[in-house]
Amino acid sequence: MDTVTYPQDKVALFMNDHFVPVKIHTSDHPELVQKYHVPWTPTFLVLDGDGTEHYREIGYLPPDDFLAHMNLALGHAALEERDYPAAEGYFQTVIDRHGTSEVVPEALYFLGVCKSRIKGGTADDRKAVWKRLMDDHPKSDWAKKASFAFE
Amino acid sequence: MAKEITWKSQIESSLKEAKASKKHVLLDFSHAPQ
Repeated sequence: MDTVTYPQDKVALFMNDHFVPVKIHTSDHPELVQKYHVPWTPTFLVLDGDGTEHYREIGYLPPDDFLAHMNLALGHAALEERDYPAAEGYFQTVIDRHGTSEVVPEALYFLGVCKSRIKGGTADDRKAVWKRLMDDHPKSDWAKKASFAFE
Repeated sequence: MAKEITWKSQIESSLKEAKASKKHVLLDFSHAPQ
């Protein structure tokens, strides 16, 4: 991460704009490894200001995949904080800017959730997005999870 | 000029900073450089 992903300008800009980034060297802080149940390095955790965990990812990620995961993470955080317009924006960013990422099906699934929960949204709005998920990523686990809506 | 990530090392103060700035904290657990 330190040699390939973090030195990229677009990664540094995104990190400084959206996060307070904290680097923890596991050998220096075994108590934090235990507290946060970290099994391997690198492990990334996204917390809100109260310390509540909203997302975690384990293992090296190249720059574009890392940015896709971090947008997904912020989408999950906003969704769990019931800020549906913000969540919608982050999930849409994953789809629009990181279209080849493996997390696109997950972003589509939760974009559908946002569409139905946003003010004035309906189950039909969710279903329209899930239809795209089923059509574009039929073999994904997330298409499987959405399939009940079409039975 | 290349951009650099502004890494912090303390969790508690970073949580306070995140709350004040309406950001989130990203914890990166990694090995120390050899």
